[in-house]
Amino acid sequence: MADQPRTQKQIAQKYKDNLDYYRRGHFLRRLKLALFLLAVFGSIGAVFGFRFWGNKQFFNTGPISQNHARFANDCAACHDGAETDLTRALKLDQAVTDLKEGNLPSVDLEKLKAASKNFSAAELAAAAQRNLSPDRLSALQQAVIKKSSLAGMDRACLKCHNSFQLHQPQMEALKLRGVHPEMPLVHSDRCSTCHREHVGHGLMAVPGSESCATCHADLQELARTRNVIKVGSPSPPVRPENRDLGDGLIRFLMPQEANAQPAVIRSYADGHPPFRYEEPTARDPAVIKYNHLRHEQKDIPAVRDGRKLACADCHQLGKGGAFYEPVKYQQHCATCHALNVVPELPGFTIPHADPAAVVVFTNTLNSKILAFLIDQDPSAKLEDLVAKVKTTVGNMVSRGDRPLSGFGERAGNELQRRIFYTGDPTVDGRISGSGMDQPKFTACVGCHEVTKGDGTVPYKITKTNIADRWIHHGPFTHQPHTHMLCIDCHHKEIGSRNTADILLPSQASCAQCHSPLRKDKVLEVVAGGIAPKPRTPEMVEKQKREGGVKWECQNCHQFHAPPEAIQMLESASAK
Amino acid sequence: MKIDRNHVPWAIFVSGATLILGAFFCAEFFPQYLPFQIDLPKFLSHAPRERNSYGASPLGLFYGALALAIFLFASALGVRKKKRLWRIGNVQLWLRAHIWLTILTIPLVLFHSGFHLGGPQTTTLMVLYTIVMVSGFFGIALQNFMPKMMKERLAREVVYEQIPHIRGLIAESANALRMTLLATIAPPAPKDAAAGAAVAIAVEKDTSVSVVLEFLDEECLPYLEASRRAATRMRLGNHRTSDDVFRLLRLNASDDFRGKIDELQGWCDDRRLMDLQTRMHHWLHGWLLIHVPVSFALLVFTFWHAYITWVHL
Repeated sequence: MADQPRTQKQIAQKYKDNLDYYRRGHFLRRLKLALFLLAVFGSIGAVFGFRFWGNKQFFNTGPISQNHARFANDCAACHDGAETDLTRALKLDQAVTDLKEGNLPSVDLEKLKAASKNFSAAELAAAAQRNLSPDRLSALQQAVIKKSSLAGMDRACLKCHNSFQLHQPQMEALKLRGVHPEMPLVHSDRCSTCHREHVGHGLMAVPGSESCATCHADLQELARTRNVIKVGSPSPPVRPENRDLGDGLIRFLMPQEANAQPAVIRSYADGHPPFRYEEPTARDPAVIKYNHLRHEQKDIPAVRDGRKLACADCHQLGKGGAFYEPVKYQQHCATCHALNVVPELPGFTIPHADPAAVVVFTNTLNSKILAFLIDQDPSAKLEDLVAKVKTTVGNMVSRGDRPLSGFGERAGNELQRRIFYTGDPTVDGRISGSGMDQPKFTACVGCHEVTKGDGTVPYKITKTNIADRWIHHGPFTHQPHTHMLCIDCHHKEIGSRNTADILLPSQASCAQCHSPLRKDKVLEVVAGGIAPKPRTPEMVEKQKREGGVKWECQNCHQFHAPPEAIQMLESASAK
Repeated sequence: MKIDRNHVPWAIFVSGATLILGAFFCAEFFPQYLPFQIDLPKFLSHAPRERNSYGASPLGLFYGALALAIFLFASALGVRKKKRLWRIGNVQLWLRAHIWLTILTIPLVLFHSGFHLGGPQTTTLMVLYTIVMVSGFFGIALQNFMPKMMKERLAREVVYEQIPHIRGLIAESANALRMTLLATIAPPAPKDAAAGAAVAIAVEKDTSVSVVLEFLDEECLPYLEASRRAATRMRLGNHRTSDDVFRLLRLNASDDFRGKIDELQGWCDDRRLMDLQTRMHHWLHGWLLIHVPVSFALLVFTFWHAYITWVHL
């Protein structure tokens, strides 16, 4: 059947007895209301009733690391003062108890003044107006102090890791405090800014460079956190200096600029300042004359096994392979630069490194030669040996630009002059190219600074003072670089004539390899279709091109100041 | 609410805002994925971030706080609907803002959480949020095609809450008809027995009354008085079988009853349409039974989450 047409009036007729329907609850409306009320009371009840049914693990955002596993079920160990129970957090339970017991808040202003001497009158009046008891006011003050630096959770870290509350000064700054008038002082700020917890059961991950960059890439943040304290060093260097700070190591030191502002560093390859020895005013202050260029010339005779003189003939790794040993005359120089004062007697040499011994040596030359000859041939007749001594000394007298004229005091002085200043042949003669195979000895002045001596010794040799350490803020070691050639980093050696040249690699050259992997330059294979093998020159080239070798800040620097820094600061503040 | 051209500006706003929020998120946390550098305002990119998580970073907190503000605004829609005379924008505008701003909370919540569920509490929040959003989208989808479907399938729509009343009126009318028919076949009074007997003989010869009465007793009245669920299972609950039943009834009844049968069919059709309307109304508005209460629970739990993270950190 077709639908019957209805007019609106006909339809409305049906409603006429039920016009107040909206006042009566319809099932759907009642259900809506019931569910809404259930949600309201259910959710609020769940929140406030959490204390009865809840487990704090409900708020656990992730597994605790192995480092803090023993606190896994003790949230309050780290989240100091945190309260998951809203009833207690809002102090509703205390309010109910107070109301039941009639403990309404009241304040006696005089009592307040007596109890809190640290507060000003205005503060006390304000507190009284707000009905704050002295205890409460004090607690509030503490809370403000607490909030001013580290948050509660970070303070909890310091319960166990107390010595880590400082970022600066680092160990090297502490070592250099005797020569630097200022020392940076930076608090660690919030631990959890870098150390992420609740992210897995394993060991906590070491923070990456991005954590450092959050401050070091932001000049304003650096300025905000940086603080400098005066340490009052007695003799800060005013020019580049090599100095032993008491630990037996000679360090290259540059004068410290007062209140120097830190550089903005985004990564080692982006913004890291050059090493201090790269500064234009930096010169090697070692008192020794050495010409690298001369030792690379073709006329330098072959050394052991017929090889040409190489870097490793003089520069040799020390124990552990971290640092190179200092170059020693006896081991590295004597082969070519002999101190053979008597050409007829190979092995009969002037003592090195002690001017007083040289004086004794010259004054007792005859007996020394005789003793040497007896040592060489104990069975020889004494008369023959004495004759040989006379012949040898006679040859010495006749050689040289100034005769020794006998065996008196003048002759001894002249011999000393030859040893310290002219050599044999003379310094000028050697430089003019008299040939390396001629018998000779090298004068001290050829390598050392010779000055007039005092009454005991006529000449003095200035201490060479060659630096053992050039960089102080990173634990550089040669160990991982043994696959490289010296000139891969120390390419300045080629062409250096002066000792004052600092022949260490620039920061930029280090950053070639020590930078994030340059993906656009990655080549899986080199020419010939073969991937470079580890620790080969090809690998070095690959690393220079692609980077990707340890570039994190933490590879060279530590974030936390050593415990000594805390002690030092405490003692400084006690003073 | 139907999604029409009026929503285009909102869609553009939400899309643009999502792009900006996403760009800020990348600039703060994944700058390497951005083809250009974005310098965030200082208060959004405080360095160092006080906590090494997305939500606790200044930007994450800003996103979270914005999402919470939108939750609050969205929950105020219920109040706005109750207070229709308040001059704070029409309800349609509020509803559009409710829909699109809550859609904007999706990127806000995802960026705030860093696409992580976190612990049980935040997972609970995410579950509640998902329920609210899915039920909301479901509601929007229903509101876009259900009204049209109702217009096509419900020839005579009535006020939903009047349906029980009208259903009762129809049942009453059917019962009244039954009583009338019964009266026509009742034996006459004894004083006029002869006349009565004549009428009775005449009625007995015409079986239409009994046929209609039988139909009323066995099919029509049970159907009109049945619950909605039971009614849909009856023969008259189906449009086609109902038409067949009434066609047969007309064949078995005399033409004098055609008007009564048409009236009966009209009642049955009304009842069937009202049942259909009820069902459609429940679909159209039933999602609110989930959406609204869970939204409130979400709001309470969000405040709890904000408080706990505040005091814990």
